[in-house]
Amino acid sequence: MADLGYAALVIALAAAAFATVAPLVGLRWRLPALIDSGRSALWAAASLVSVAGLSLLYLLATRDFKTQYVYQYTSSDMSMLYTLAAFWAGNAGSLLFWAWTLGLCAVVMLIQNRNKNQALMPYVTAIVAVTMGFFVGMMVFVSNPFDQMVFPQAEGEGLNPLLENMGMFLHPPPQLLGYMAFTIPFAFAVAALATGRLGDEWIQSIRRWTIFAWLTLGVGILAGAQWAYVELGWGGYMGWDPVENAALMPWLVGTAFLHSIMVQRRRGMLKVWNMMLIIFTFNLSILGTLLTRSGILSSVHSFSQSGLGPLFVAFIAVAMTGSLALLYYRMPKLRAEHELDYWVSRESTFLVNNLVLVGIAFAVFWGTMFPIITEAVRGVKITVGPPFYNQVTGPLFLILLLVMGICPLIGWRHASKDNLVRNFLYPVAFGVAAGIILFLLGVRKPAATISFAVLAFVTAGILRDWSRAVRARRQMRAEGWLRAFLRLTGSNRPRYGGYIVHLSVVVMALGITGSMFYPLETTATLNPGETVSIGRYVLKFEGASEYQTQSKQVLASTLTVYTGGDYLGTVTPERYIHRNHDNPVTEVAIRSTLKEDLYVIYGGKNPDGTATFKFKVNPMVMWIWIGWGVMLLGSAVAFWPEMKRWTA
Amino acid sequence: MVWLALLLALGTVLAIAYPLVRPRLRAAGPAPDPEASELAAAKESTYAAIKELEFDYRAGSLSQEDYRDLESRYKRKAAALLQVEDARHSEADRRAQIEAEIRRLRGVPAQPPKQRQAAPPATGRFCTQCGSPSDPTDRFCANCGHPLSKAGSKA
Amino acid sequence: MDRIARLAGLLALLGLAAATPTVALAASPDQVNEIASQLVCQCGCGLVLNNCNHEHCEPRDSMLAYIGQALDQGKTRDAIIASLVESYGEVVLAAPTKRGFNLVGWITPFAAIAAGGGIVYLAVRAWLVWGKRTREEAVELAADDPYLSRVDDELRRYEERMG
Repeated sequence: MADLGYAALVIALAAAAFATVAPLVGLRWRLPALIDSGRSALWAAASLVSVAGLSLLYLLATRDFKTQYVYQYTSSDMSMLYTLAAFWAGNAGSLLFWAWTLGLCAVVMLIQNRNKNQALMPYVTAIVAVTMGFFVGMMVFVSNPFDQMVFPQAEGEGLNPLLENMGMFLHPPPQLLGYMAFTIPFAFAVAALATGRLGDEWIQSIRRWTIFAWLTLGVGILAGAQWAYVELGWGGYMGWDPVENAALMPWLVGTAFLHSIMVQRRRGMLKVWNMMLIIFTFNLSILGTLLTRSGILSSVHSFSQSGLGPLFVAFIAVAMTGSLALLYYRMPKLRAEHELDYWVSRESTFLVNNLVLVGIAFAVFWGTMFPIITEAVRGVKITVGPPFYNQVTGPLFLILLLVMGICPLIGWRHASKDNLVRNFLYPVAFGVAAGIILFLLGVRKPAATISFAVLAFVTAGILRDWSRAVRARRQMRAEGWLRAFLRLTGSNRPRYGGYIVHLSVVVMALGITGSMFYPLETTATLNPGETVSIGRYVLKFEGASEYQTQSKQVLASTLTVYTGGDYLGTVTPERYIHRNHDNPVTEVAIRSTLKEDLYVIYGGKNPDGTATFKFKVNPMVMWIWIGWGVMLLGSAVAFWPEMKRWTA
Repeated sequence: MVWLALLLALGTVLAIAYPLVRPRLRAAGPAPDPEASELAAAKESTYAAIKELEFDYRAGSLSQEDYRDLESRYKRKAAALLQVEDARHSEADRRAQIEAEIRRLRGVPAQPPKQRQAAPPATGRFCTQCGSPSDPTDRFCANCGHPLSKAGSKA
Repeated sequence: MDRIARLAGLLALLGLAAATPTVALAASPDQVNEIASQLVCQCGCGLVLNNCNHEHCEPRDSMLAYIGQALDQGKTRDAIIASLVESYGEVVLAAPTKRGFNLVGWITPFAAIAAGGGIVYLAVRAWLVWGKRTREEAVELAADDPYLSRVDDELRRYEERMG
């Protein structure tokens, strides 16, 4: 099976190479048959990579420890689910996962465009094929998932216990898929540049692909945050670790792209800028795959190291210079129709939104790279950690939220003074009132109060706009409230899907603001029967115990939780030592409510019978995960296909 | 296992080679015209924009005056696109007539017409907005939809 | 040289920690936490000091112990951080200092955004001029222009299609 998988990869590499060259040659020498042949070759490459992917799944499922990858990442005591999830636990498997998902994206894209975009497709095929060929080539020449053991073992090493968590299914797959899915919009952009067909067509073809990639990457990032929160046991969800940053950058730039293509569709403006955004999004995605898998920058994610780095850097360099050169070449054709009527218009809020989003992405990039720069300039190692990112990006995110609230209140082209007053009066009043009330209630850290007030303003603005549209529709069509609301939303899904996503951002920002500004933390060493209090909670240490499972030795502790004399329940934070890994792993206990999370970390038992704990109260964290769900809903609304294409 | 791998290779070669050797099917309707789909996309964007304007106006984020002004601008753009579409159709018809005439004169039996080419614009007149050449009879620029003045500007 | 100095510093800290009989912290945990949140654990976990959750983490324990004792001795927050920087190097700080070359790190993102804002400002100003010119040159269509009525027809069909 391993041989078959490897053979499939080798043939896939040849097919991808053919699919890269054939369409271009076919265009040059006017041989439509060759273009079709290139398309078939991309189909073939995708199918072959699927064969390779299925082979690896088979090897994992049959626990074939003769295969090195299976040996390294699984063991017979692992459940089947996690054994299969080991597919993306290591370098070689991740490469295969990328190639496979890209292949699936390519197939969907080919089917969608059977009879569409005939002029663009040869280039799209070539770009997708060369990207896929790159990943397949890495497996064939550098990091082969089907390598056999020199000395076969009877038992595997097993998965890093940190990875044995539901997060293993929720975090890596969407994130890795998101990176790859940005290839399709990028390929269309390059095709548009190459053919000079820079009108609305390519933008329309990629709108949903971009939403898809943006959503999957976003879902992956949030799942990672959630995973870190429940598993890594340090009580936070974002460590500003290089790998997290690597995912954040393409996502932010992709967000800017999603917004600014609206300006292009509406006004025919910003064509060059949009091209740059998608070029950067793609290359940052590839950089993300590189940072995830190279271990170049030290991070919690460096589960393995490899020599893939230089090849990735070379690929990015070629993709970047190639596409930017093409953009420069097409510049004259893109420079058209730039006209604005007034300073205050929705167009200008979009410009500010883009500026801030790209600015944040740059700040993250800069922070990630600054230690390297300092070491080169001063020869001193420094750390750029959470305090830096919080202080630099915090204000920028606040501005971004503000713009998010302002944007829908201002019309395209022009906002007259009357309109401005009328549209802003209630949302602003609501925001200010919320701020004052919170201040009186004791929320007095300036940044937090401002943040909450801005969020109230944003919410009021969105709801006001939406409700007025519903009212207008009711007047026009005599529909009931609910019916009018649903039909209205259905009639302009991209817009209202976007509104729902905005609301989800508000919900998440609530959680982030609350947990950033008002966390409580304490450590305590307790004898059984002793209590400790944190916030409104009183915790009583009941006792510690130990037990053994097949693969790990678990140290458990039990505490009962009270608030104001009322019994709330028990929590059982644990730590365990995995058979194959020396470092103990914490299994935190979290008691979640909408108001706050009680987060208990068991530090272990001391020789004198006491036990050490760390307690945290993280306000409103649950809102982040709720926002995540709302974001999925909103994206689904925006993503849902529109009616048949306009063909008249 | 070796046989399976060879089978995979063979299948791949066949899949790639098939489009090269199969007879080109032309009968299945006219070849899709990329220019036409680009025009359709431009029209769709324009109509979506008009609808969005209406939304904004009804939701109160656009004053009536601005709404009227913008709506008429987008409608003018749509009208320009329709005009371009018409021009392309008549151009294509004219070409087909000429080709048929040539074949008749040469005594060549009728053949399926070649795929349409984009109409090369007549020279001498350029759009004041984006600089692309336009036909003397056009009232709107085929590239950006900008209304063209009667006199036209010489470039 | 640098490494030796760091090692010596570390040993000094450990010695200090060992010399005091009780490791119990009289300093409030909040104070220790506040200082620890500005530092990075040196065990390789890359986490902020009070977040490192390794079972036996020598760097974390000795640093936390040192912070507690120094607080007990009445040292200020800044002095404690400074002495830790002395023994471990700047890498122990969770964020770069706002001094000297490190300022480049803090200022560049904002400078870049300001520069971007300048470009946006200039672009918008230019586009406003072009927009004005277009408005002045715009040709009005007659209300009965046949193309306009066709646009209205297509628009109606588009609306029907979109619900």
